[in-house]
Amino acid sequence: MLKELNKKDLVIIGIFSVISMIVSFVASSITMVSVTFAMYAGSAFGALLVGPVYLILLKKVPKRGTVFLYYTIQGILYALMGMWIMLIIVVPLAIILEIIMIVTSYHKRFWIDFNYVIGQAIYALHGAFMLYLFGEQYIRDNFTDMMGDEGIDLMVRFYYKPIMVIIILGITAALAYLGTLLGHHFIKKHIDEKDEELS
Amino acid sequence: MKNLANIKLDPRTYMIITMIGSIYMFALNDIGFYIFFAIVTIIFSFHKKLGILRFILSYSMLSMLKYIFMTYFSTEISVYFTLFIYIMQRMYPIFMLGIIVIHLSPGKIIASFRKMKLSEQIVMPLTVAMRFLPTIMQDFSDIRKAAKIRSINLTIWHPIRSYEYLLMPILLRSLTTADELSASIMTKGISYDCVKTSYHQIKFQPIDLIIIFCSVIFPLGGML
Repeated sequence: MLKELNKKDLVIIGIFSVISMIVSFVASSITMVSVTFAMYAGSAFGALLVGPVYLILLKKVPKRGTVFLYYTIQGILYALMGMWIMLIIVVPLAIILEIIMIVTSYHKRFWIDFNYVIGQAIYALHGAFMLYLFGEQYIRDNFTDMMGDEGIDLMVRFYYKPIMVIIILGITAALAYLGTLLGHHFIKKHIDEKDEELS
Repeated sequence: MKNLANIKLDPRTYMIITMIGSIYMFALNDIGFYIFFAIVTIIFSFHKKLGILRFILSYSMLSMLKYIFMTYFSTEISVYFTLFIYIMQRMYPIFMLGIIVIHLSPGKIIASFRKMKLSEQIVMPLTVAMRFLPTIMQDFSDIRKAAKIRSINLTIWHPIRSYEYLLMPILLRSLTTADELSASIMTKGISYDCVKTSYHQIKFQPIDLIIIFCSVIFPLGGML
């Protein structure tokens, strides 16, 4: 699956993965002013801002394995930065998204956008997956110092209520879609026009 | 101190301790955490160029700030800041180890990933990502300065325009960098289909095993 990618493609994927991580990290930090707001919109803002990076990456490297590597590299970097739990969530997500892209197309705008929106919506629930995988007690034992009792109560209240999960999914999907629109706008303005000039 | 700077650990040791640290980060009590932090500080002091002093100073300043917030203020905002500082302090050892890893030479990182039997298709982008993490953060800062010189205001009042002016130069420059970098690594024969050797010898030494052992056991001892 990864054999199609040449060395230049691998370098581009590496650089774009790290740019996405930085942008996403900054966007999430902005929403941290309030824990409740961060629960709703933490990943959603990241999804909005990372959209252009993802779309330009797929425009430049529309080959099998790109999506898998893009998410996996981020997962490994998160693990090296101390958030090893992210690796457990991101790698299966990378495989699912890559399968979607292989079954559909790396060249059709609709499927690229669809893939991004689905990916970001699932990614937004990484906190919920952590809770479902390890259970409430594990989170209380290990993360009370970090999040406080109130933060964990809020997390449990949020992620065990289907309506809240749907709201988070909805907000993230909507902002991710806006991110793809922004991405297409940037591609049209900066990349397509430049290519036309060159040709 | 001179002898400490001569100690060279296997890059995999840093990665293993980072993983241990991420598990210990919030699970340890204060004594256990300080023992782990002390071990990481000793490891950090092996790298003289990275400057251990600024980390100790900034950590101390955060401790002072936390003390002031806890003692003299009792508003909701001060509780939030205290918690924020506490989280930052708990993440300090991981930051320090991360800084060591991203300052290792790409050749060393590639050699250690190869030793871990990671696929070449993962090793290459991962190494590039680790190498470019500090560079790209510097690029963002440079672009903001360049925009300021040209009197382009990157403000929240024009979010899309500001984001475009900040992001697009980085992405376009990254594409050029990718061209140059791939040409450079091709000339070094990376695409040649054979067993790759490395100038860097990657092997666990007794000191690596001692440090891993100490990082796992001593902080737990502090919890007794």
